[in-house]
Amino acid sequence: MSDVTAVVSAEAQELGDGRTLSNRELLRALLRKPQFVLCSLILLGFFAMAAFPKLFTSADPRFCELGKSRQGRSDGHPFGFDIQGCDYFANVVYGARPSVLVSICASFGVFVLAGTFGLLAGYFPGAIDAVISRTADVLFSIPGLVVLIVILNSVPNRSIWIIVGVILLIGWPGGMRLMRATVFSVRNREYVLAAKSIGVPPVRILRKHVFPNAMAPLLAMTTLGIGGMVGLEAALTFLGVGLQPPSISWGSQFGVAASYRDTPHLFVWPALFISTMTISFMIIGDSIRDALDPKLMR
Amino acid sequence: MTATGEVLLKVDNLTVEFDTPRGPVRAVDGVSWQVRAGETLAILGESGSGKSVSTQALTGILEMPPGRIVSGTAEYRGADLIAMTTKERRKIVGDRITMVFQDSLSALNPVQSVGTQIAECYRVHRGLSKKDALKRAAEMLDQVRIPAAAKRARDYPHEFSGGMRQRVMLAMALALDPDVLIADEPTTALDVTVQAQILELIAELQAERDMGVVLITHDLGVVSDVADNVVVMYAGHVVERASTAAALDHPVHPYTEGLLGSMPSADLKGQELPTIPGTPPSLRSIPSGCAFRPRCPIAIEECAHDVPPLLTVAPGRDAACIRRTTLAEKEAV
Amino acid sequence: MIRYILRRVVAAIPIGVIVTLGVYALVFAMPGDPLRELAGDKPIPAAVLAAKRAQFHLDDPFIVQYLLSMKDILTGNFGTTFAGADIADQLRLRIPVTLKLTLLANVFQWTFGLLFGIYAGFKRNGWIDRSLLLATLVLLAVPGLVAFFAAQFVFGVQLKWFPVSGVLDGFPTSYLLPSLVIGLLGFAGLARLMRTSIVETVNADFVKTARAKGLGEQRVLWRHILPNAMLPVVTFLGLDLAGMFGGAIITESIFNLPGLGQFMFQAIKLKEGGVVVLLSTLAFLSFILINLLVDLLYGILDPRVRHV
Repeated sequence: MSDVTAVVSAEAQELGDGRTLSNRELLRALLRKPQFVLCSLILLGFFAMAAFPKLFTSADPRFCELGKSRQGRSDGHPFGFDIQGCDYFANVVYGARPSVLVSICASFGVFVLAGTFGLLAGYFPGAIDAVISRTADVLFSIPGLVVLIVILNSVPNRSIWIIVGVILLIGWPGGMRLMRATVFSVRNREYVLAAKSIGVPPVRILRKHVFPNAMAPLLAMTTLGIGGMVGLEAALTFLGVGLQPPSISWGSQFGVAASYRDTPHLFVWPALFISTMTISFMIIGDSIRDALDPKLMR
Repeated sequence: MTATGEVLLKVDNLTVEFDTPRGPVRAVDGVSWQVRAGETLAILGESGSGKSVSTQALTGILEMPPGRIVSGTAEYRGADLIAMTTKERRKIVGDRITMVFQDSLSALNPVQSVGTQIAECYRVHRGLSKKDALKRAAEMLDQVRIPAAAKRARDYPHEFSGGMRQRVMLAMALALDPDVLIADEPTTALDVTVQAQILELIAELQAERDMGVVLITHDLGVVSDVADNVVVMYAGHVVERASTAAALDHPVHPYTEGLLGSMPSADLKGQELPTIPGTPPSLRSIPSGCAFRPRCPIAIEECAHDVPPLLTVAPGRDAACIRRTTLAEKEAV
Repeated sequence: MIRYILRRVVAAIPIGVIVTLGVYALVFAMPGDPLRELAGDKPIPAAVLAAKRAQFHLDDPFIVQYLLSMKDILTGNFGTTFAGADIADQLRLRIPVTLKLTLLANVFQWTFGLLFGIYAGFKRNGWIDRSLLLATLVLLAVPGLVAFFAAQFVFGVQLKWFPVSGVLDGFPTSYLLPSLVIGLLGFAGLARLMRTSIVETVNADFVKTARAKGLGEQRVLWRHILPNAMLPVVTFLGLDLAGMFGGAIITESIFNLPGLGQFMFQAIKLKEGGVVVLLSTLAFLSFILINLLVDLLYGILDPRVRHV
C-alpha cells in the first residue's frame, strides 16, 4: 500500500498546476478512453453484485450440504462447493459487498479527511499546521498495518464500519502531505492574493479558490488507491482481524483456501474476482490521472 | 557595419515543422541569414516567431521528433551542419559554435559544480585531464569577471545570483574559444543594469576573439545597442533584413515600423504609446499570404494572395512586403 | 553534518515516546486477560498465576507497566514471552530471517525497477515502454495476498520449483519465492517512478545545454540526466524500506517464515504488550535510521538541500 502511495504522489504532484476541468469536460475526456468505459462497466457489475447479490445467483450461500464439501463444478454450481459444501459461486458473489463497501467508504473518507487536514495545514502555517503535521509524523513512523492489527484486535465485534473507521484513523497522513504541498504552491498565487485583498473570508477562499485548484493530485491518488483498499480489507480479514464469520468475504475465503491447497478452486475464484476489481479501479484511476494531467491535454 | 570578415555560419532557406496531434505546424519557413567573423547579428521577433527554433534546429538540439527539418542548409565554413552526421556535428557544435540560453538557473545542471560543468568542455573536446580542465575552468570564470573565480568554481548554480550565473553560462560557452556564439535571449531574465553589463561583456569578449555572435532577442533596445545587422522574424518568416542603423532609421516592413513606433522614448513623453493592433497569429492558423496582413495598416487585398517574397529593396537591405519593394516606394506611401 | 544528525535524533525522541506509549496503550486496552487465554481451558493454580502476573507486572498501573517495559528495552533486558521463550534469543533467530527476506526482495526490486525504469524512460513510447506501463499498472493493482498465494500455488505446490513454505531449505532457496514476489510487486512502483522522473528530466533546459556542448548521448545520459532523475527515487527508497516491515507480517504468515513480522502478529494476538512495544520500538528505530540515511544520501546527491 505504501508503494502505491509513494509512486502515485510522485506521479500526481505535477497535477497541482493543472487547469481545473469542469466535471463535464473531465467526463467527456474519460469517455473517449475505451479502457475507462470497459472498467467502469466491470465495476458497475461489481457494485450491482454488492447491492443485489440475488440478481446474480439464486443459491443461498449459507445453504450447505457437508457431503458435497470441496467438490468441483457441477450443473447449477459453476464454481463448485466450499469446505462445508455450500455453493461457492454464491459465496464469491456475496463476498463482493464488504470489498466494495470498505474500499469506497474508506477511500472517500480518507479523501475528505486528508483534503481537509491538508487544506488547513497548508493554508494556516503555524499552530494548526504544527498539530496536524506532527500527528502525521507519528502515524507515519510506525507501520500502518501494525497499528491496524493492534487496534482491530482489541475490538471484539468488528463490523464493516469499524474497519472503515480504523482505516480512516490512520490512513489520512499520506494524502494530507500531498494536499498540504499542493496548497503551499497555490496559496500565494495571484488569484488567492486577489481574493484576500478584497476581503474574502478565509473559509470561502479555501472553498472557492484553493480547494478546486489543489485537489487534482489528491483526487488522482485517491482513485488510484481504491484498489489497494480492497486488498487491505482482504488482508485484514485473512489475518483474522477483519470481518468475522459468519460474514462472507473474499479475505476469509483466502484464509480457508490457504489451509486446503489441494483444492485450488477455493482460491482461484475469489482471487479472480478481487483482481478484476482492483485492476479495474487502478485503470480507472490511471485514466482520471491522465485526464487531469495538463501536459497530456491538447 | 563590419561586413568584411569571413562568413562563418550561413543559413539558407531553413524550414522546420513540428508534428502535433492536429497535423504539422510550420514554425520556421524558408529562413536565411549569415554571420561573419566579428559581426553581431540580431534575430528579432516575438515569442513564437521561430527565432529560437531556427538556431536550435541547426545545432541539432531541437527535440526531433516532434520537430522536423523540412529543408534548408546551415553551413559552417562551407560544411552543412544539417546534412552531416550527429557525430560530425558534435565536433563543431559545442566547440566551434556554442550557445548561451535565457534561463541560466534551469540551463545549468543543478547537481554539478559550475567548475565541473565548464571543465567538461575541455575534457570532452580537448581531452584534458580532470585537473587541468578544472584549472582552465577557473581561468575562464576569471575572464568573465567572476570574483574569487578559483573558489567559486566549486560552487553550485543555485549559489550564484542571476547575473553571475549568466556569466558562468558565458564562460562555459566561450571556454573553447568558439567562432560563433549563439546567445538565445541571454539577458531577458536579468535586471536592466545587469543586462547592460552582460551585453558589454559579450561585446568585449567578441572583440578579443573576432567571434561572430548571433543574438536572439525580442528587445529592440538590445538590438540597437549591440547588433551590427538585424533579421526581423514574424510567424516563422524573415520579414526584414538590414544593418541595424538602416533598419532603425528607415524601417521598410510595416511590422518593423510598428515595433519601432511602440518603443517608448523621451520624445513621446505625455503621449499615448502607439502599439501594433491585434496579436501575433497562432502557428496553427497563419493567415494566407502575408502573415502580418490582419495587423498591417497598409494591407491591401493582394496581400492575401501569396506569401510575399523577401526582396532586395536597397543594397544590403531586404524586406518581404509587396507594398514596399523599394526604399523609395516606402517614402511615397 | 554531525549537528544535523544530532538535531534529527533529538527531534525523534518525543515522537518515539508517543509512538511506544500509544502502542502500549492500545495493547493495554485490549479486552481479556492474556494469561488466561494462553492457558486455554486448563485451570491454572492461583499461586502460579500470581507469580506470572508479578513477573510481567500485569497488576501494576498502566503507566508503570509502560515505564518498566521501556526500562527493560533500554537496558537490553528483554525477558521472556508469556510462553517462556527468551525474547533475546527469539530476536537473534528472527531478525536475520526478516533481514534476509527484505534484502533479497530489495535486490530484485531495485535491479528490475531501475533497469526497466531507465530503459523505458529513454525509449519512451516504444513497445517495451508501453507494455511496461501496462504490466506495472496490473502489478500495482493485484492485491499482495493474491500474488503470494498464486505464486505459492503455481511455483511451490504445482511446479515444485521452490519450497512451498518454511525456512528448512535455508538461504537463499527458502527465501527466493517470497522475495521474488515482493520484489516484483515493488518493482512496478519503482519502474514507473524512475520512468516518470527520467521523462521529466529529459526535457529540462540543462539537458539542452549539455547537448549544445556537443556531448555524446551516453555522457548526457549518465552525467546529466540520471543524477538528476535519481533524486525522487531516493525519496522512494526511504518510504519503501520503511513499509517493508508491515508487509513482512503478511508475507511471513503466508510463507510461514519465522521472522519479526510473524513474531509481531503472534504477540498482538496473545496481547503481549511488552513484545509488541519492543518490536514497535525496533520498527520505529529502523524507520528513523532509514530516513536519516536517505536524507543524508539526498544531501550528497543534491547540493541544493545540503545540510552543513
